[in-house]
Amino acid sequence: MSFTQPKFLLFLAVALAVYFVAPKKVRPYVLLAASYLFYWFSGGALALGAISLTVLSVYAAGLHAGALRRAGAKKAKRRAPLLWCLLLNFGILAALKFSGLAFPKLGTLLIPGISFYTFGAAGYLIDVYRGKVSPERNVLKFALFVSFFPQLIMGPISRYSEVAENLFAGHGWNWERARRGVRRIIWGYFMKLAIADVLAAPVAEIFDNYASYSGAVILAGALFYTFQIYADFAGGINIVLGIGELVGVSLPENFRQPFFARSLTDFWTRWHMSLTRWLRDYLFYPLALSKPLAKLSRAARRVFGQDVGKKIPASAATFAVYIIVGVWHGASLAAFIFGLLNGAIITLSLFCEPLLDTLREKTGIDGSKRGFGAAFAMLRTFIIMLLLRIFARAASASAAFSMLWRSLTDFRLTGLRTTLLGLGLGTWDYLLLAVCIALLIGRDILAARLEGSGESLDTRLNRARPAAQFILTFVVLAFVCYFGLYREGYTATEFIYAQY
Amino acid sequence: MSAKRWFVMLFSAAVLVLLSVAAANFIIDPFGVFGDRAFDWYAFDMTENPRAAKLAYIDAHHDEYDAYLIGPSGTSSLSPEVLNEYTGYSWYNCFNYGADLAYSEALAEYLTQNYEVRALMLTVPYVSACQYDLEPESITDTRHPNITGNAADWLRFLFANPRYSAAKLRDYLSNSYLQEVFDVFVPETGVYDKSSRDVEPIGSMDAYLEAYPVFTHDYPDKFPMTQLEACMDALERIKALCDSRGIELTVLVPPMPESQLNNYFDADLEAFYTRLGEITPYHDFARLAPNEPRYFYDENHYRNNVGEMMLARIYDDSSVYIPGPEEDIDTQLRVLLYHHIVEAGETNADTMLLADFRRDMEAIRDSGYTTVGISDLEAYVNDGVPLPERAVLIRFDDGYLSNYTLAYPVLQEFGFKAVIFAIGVSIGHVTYKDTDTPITPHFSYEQAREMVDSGLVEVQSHTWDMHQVESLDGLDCRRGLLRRENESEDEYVAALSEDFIKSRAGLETGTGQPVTALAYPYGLHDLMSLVVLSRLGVKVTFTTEAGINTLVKGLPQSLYNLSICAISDLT
Amino acid sequence: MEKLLKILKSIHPRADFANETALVDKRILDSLDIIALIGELEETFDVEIGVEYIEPENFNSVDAMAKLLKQLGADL
Repeated sequence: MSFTQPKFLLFLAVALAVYFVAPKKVRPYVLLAASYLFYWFSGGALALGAISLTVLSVYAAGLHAGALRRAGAKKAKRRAPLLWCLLLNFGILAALKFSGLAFPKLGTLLIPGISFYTFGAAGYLIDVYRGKVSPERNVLKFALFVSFFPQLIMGPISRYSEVAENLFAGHGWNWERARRGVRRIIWGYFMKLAIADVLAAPVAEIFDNYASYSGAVILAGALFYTFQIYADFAGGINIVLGIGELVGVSLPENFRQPFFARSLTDFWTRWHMSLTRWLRDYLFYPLALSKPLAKLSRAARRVFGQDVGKKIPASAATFAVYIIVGVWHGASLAAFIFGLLNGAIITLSLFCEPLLDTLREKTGIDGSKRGFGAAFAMLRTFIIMLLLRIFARAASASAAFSMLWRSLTDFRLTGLRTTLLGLGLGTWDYLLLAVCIALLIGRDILAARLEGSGESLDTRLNRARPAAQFILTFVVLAFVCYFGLYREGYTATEFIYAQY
Repeated sequence: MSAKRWFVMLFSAAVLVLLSVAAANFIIDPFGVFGDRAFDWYAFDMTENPRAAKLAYIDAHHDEYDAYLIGPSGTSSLSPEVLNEYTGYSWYNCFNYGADLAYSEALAEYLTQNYEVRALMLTVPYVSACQYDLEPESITDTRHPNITGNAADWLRFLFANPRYSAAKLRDYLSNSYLQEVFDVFVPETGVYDKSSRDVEPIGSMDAYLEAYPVFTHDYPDKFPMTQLEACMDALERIKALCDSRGIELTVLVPPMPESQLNNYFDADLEAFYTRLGEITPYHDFARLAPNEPRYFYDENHYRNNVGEMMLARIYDDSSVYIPGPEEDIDTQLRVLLYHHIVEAGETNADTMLLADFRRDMEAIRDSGYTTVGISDLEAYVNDGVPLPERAVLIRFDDGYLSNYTLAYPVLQEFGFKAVIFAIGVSIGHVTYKDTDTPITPHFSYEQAREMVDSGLVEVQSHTWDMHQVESLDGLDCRRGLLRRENESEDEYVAALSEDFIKSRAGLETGTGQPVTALAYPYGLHDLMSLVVLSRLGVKVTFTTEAGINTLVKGLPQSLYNLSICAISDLT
Repeated sequence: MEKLLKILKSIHPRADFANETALVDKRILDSLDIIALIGELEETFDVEIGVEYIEPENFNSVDAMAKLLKQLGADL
């Protein structure tokens, strides 16, 4: 079920109504039932079976790991059940993802969100193993953690410790929380309907038929895609977090004004935060601090010198992380290259740190400072990510290379305007789009400004003049209403009288 | 703001959004459903949704009409004005594209129940037997709530996509004199505004098919008449309705081009006509001009001229020309262009030696060509009076005195006709307008009258003062009759009309001969100028483009924008 | 303590380690910095800092880091 389908809204309304009416103790089970129902609508019996397998296997492994830990067993003995369970679940995930290579129609679409819930459950298990979390004894409550419906299809990936309490508390209606939630939900729909859905067709047209477009158009397409994917993903996340808010569950943020990133490393702490956080805690640190890599580091220090050698573990771990980030997007060569390039650029800047420091001193352009340096760094990062993202969306790796090549060699600014107007959007559509994107960026600017001050965006908005709040709400609702209610069903006069 | 207040605010904002949409749709009213009080621009509304808007128009103006044309697009070219003359009723053309018999029946019922109806004219094309009672696909073919009786339809129009209202505002600001994509109707009569297509120059069949390839479209499958029974039952009910109320009902089958006629099974057609004949007398025009695509705007719409022919046949008006089944519909015409003749001396593109002119006349005679005049051309297209197989029109531009002194005697000698296009301000002048600058002399009105009285020469318009010359009028002169860059459409229409009326008045008074033809100064012309001139009564126009002209019987507009050729094209 | 501060300064010359109490939360130290830091700390103080000790609480301020090191048996 997609968030923008009317039947989802109906489902949500019913689920919430039942939730608030139910007694406190019953509410978590209402959420569980709703989650399973939602998943059944989204993926059928197969999906329910898969997620139940994960729930049961991780639940059991968690109890076992907890018991072993209490009994003081040795690391090796404790590690076995952990590894088997992870192997099982990640194995299923990998098999599904890579089967997409052999049978393009299958793949993760069959079991939507499998990546998200697998990572979420695995994180829990590793936390139990590390002693950070005590295992959940109630299998139904555990099932709710794994399958909580708002985050099931697109994340964020939560940590057990950060959501368990609220998830099982059965919080009732609270006006302040409800305001936060509804505000986020409306904003999320605004992003999805007014920006992401509008850009979908032109982006598809350019990426599917890149060979017939000039480099300028391809770059425009990449720019459109940047906004589309941001509006779609972050918009969806807003809806997810908003629903969570309504039932008193504070899910972790997944986006933090990504276009204000000053470096790629910085970017990935602002985009899909829950994934990079997961990878940092469960892959990057363990790998970078592992014995094998430490040995490699010592050997490298002998061969390449101190400076280079000591960076080996971090760079190897970095590559591992970003390759996973890449393949997360899809089990294709292009996605792999996407991850690889991110890893390569970050690793390169890691090794070139002394050189970059000198450059910063000589030119005075320093991304960490305010003013021109910051603007330069943000623009540079924006452009690099825009180009890399082509790999994430292109039909194939060779297509992505072609597109990049064309943007450099066949730029051709002439005829850009006519081409852009021939992609299905007219002048008025672009105008509306520009207004909506301006609103989006404005919101991000405000949020970025507030970051240091400690005041949340919500609080700031609540402080604003009522008239301003009303106008803003009216404008956003108007866009949501227009793009939500009237998406199809406009026949331009030229088409009514096509043969006149 | 407290959270509770915020929710109140949210709710009010949502309500305000919905109210704004409703208000915009109600006030701007892009479909005319609410009476279009603010704009009264039914031409636009009807284009967006003819069913709803025409009904709204009739609701507001029903006391002006007492007879209605109903049916699908095949009804659009039947003129209420012509019908008014034949029948004495006040007709309105209430056709709707895509209307089936179910809708025609509903409309007939609605009109007869609510308003005074003395006569109905209904077209029943073959396709009516293929589809019946179609559901509206979008708001643009949703019917008016008054005829559906469905209250929910008011809400559908009230909350229609606001883009339609926005489009109406945008188009209102860009509205032009010419008919555009968004105002294709004439609200007062209900017909299509075909002012542009009714002046488009028509020539040879090949040229027309190239411009409109739809006529060569080959349909892979035929259309079975699956709804014949439903369609005819509805027709029977309409007939009964009219009989019971004493309403004159005329039923007709409209003309279709060959590409459409071939799409139906013979058995179906037989059943169609049999059943039709059982229910009511009817007029069958299906094969009026099947192989003549020039008689159609496109596959589903025959021309206004053809509509007039149909009405003439229905009401027994023999003054209107209708081509016979085996007749030759078209013929060719060549036009030769001359300007100034001299006995000796320098020649150029516009100045010819008398001896050479005489040689041209001999060539015409020896090649077996016959000269014709404007009245011959008009008789051909209007009444089907045949033209010679090898027809040539001798044309002189500007109206130089040499035409009278040197050329006219030669014409008399050969007994040849010619047409001279005179510049109004220069008639009878040897100097330029009211200056002292000498120019090549032009003949006077008396001299023109003499030539006209001989029956050989016609003197027609080359504008009054739109043939200006930079060296004499300055760089900012009016060179040709096109709209100037900083001239508004209204200013232009006024200027061109004033100029032509002056030119025509001068010539008609001076020569006693009607003026219906114009040659464009410098050959400059466009669609807008042609539409304006046609509305002033110009029937024939001449350009300076090269080509051999094809004239079509029954299509007076084939006389527009005639091209010229060289004497070598005749020999 | 001075040794600790010297190591921190070598990673981020300009940060205010003396007073800052949210080094990780404010992202002054990112994951690469943490890895580099841990590498240096393990060598300098001869301790083993396992993955389970990488918590914001342990690295948010110089004092927190000193506390962690002492906990692991380092000689400050």
